[in-house]
Amino acid sequence: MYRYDEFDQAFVEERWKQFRGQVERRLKGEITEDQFKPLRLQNGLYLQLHAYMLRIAIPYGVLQARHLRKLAEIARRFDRGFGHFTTRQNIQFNWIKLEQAPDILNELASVGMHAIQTSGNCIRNTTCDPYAGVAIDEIEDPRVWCEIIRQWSTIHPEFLFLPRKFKIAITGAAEDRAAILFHDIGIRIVKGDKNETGFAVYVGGGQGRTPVVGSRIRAFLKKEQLLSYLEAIVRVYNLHGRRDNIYKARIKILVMALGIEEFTAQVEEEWQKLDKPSIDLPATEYERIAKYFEPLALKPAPISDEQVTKRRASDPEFNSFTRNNVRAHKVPGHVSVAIALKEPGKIPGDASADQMDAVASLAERYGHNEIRVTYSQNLVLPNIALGDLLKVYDGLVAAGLASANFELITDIIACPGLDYCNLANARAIPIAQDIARRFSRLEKAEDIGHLRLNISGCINACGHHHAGNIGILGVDKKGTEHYQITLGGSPGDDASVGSILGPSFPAEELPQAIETIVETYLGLRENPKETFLSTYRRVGKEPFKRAIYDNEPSNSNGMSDALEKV
Amino acid sequence: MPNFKPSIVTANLLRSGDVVYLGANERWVRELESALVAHNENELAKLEEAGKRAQNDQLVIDVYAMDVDVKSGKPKARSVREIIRAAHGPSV
Amino acid sequence: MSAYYRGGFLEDSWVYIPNDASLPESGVDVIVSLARWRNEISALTNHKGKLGVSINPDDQLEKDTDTLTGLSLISISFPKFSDGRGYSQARMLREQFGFKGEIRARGEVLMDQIPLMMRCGIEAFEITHEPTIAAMKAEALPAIFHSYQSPVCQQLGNIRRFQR
Repeated sequence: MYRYDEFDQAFVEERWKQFRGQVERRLKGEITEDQFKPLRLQNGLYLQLHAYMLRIAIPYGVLQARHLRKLAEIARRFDRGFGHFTTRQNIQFNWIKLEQAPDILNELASVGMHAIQTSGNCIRNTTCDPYAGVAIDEIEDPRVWCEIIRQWSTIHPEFLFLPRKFKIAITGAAEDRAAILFHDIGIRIVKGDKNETGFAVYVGGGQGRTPVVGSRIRAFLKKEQLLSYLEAIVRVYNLHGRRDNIYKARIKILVMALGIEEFTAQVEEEWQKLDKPSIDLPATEYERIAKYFEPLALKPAPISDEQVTKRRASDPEFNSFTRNNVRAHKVPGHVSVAIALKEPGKIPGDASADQMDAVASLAERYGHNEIRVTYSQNLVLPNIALGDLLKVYDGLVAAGLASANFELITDIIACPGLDYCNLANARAIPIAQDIARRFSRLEKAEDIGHLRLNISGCINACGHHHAGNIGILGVDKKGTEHYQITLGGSPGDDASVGSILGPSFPAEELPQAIETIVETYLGLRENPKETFLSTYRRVGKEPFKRAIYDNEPSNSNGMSDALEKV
Repeated sequence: MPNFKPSIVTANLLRSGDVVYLGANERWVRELESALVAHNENELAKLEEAGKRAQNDQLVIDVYAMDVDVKSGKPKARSVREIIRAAHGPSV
Repeated sequence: MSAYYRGGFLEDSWVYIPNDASLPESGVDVIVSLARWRNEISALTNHKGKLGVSINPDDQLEKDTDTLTGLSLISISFPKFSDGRGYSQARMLREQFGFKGEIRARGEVLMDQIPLMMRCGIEAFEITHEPTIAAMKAEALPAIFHSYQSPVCQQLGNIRRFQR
């Protein structure tokens, strides 16, 4: 993976010192909060409900063990002992003080980490497939391009004050596990006629108030031209994106307003005028970066292991874990192990400092030092020899990280919601916990099968509920927390925006409604292998609508109790 | 005169981000029930001015007025959001 | 109170002329709006004094029809520092129009954005923000020498691309 050299290191050192100066000037009153806010946002520091929240960049979701250990240390020293992994493969700390933020950035800089551009109206973290470099269906490793885009976009002087935030995702596999069609720019690695690498480029996907699947702007872009083409897109957006209304300021609005043909024409015209050689990467620089992503020299080994087979036969939890959390690897005899941070009843996506250290240890001992963060707020150890799987599993069990529910209904993607976030209408975490408890029996969850359930506490959709097979959106109805259900979303190649089912539910009734929806699916599926999404697409909304709205649900949950306790 | 809802003023401390409420003598307190309640427009205006002063002194940010219920003379948060804020932590 | 910075704090000889005002007779350096420049270009080129044009963020610069080469100065507006259109306009003026005259920034010009503006080809600044003026006078701009993108016109510090 990419290692900072002197240049990269000097860059982050300059940045944290610059931020320290900005904080000092703010505390002295030399700049106002209005003037300071974009500066602190460009370093990932939000003011949230209870305190400042710091969002630290994990570029394209790739961590070395030493990075994860540093995050654990920050959790202990500066926070309350835990961190939260996000749908953009970053990590958030909820209890940060402004006056400590420069020190934290200094600590991060010491291991080549930062919080640059994790917030603000600028280009954010470029995300990709957590199995990049190891996936069996990989066409080409997208991480090289993620690193290239990262460098190109970091403190790009022209693009730090865009109309709104800007998110790029890239996939290099047959299956899109990076949700590229829901990003401002989505990039798919493809091969040309002569098997040369190129990109299919999509623009204008997004969630929020106006969820929309991205449109293709280019079927094939030569790889050498990626940066200049991105620059043309972002410049057109910078000049013509709306600045009068923050809810209409994303590039998706511009693409919808112009239509994809006109938008494409404007980008192509601007691209022709650009001084490409000063923007596109020189071949030598490409090769320098690509070297860091050469595949590990893993020795192929037998694809079955006697110990693993024995343990699977005798240990049902391990059996489930292997079935749900373990994925085959490019190199025979190796696997990728997903660590679901979704134990039912716990806070989805959170890991304690001790857990971070435990994962770092496993990565160091068995995983070639590497950890990935997923779009679903989980972690992956991408490179585990099958012969080490049992040791890794036992290590995860000891750390309370062996939840075998990866990609099942209890692997809920949830934003922090009103418990933490200033923007939220409703809480997401207690809802996630309640739902997860109802399906906590693993056999039940496995019977339901692959199901994406996403919860957003407000229309900003940080929980990506539009892309959930079942999506839940928190709304404010006369001061009480209500939840709207959407069905049939999907983030992948078959991307679709979920469809609203009907009127919203008060908190007490929502979890039961979800149960009813699941029961309806189980009753309608053609066979146990038909997933929720497939069944929904086959039968449509009506059966589910009838099931929840024609009956009176009568279940309470602990949500209002939780509020009373507060 | 339209129905004036009893109000208090709240903010976050600039340095720490902690939630605070404006109490007596322009002191900022952590406990919502120690906040000074404005019972009319004039009182609220005074509180808001004090809030602005504290903002200009780089003490607080995001100052705003919020409705409260008053029970036994003490203010109580009305919305879910403010209940959670007043607890200084998540409900879970 | 506006201070004019171009390499150092200097006397500013330029005068902004409102659209409905006539140009001063003597050789004053004048700045007119882009609209006026487009409409009255022949009349304006008779002016005895240097000519400059001020552009706003929503002005569309037309490469084929806008004649900017005769101008000594272009003034780019940043009405709010968060309005980033001026950065693109500056780069386009330098790279696509080949503009070689002075490009200055006006509006909400703050010390944290000045280095970014410089990297986009802006070399002069009308500054009203007192702490920024003080910082520029004390040469207290943060030391940022490393960047990942090629700057326009100026070699400022250590650039990744030319390192290797």
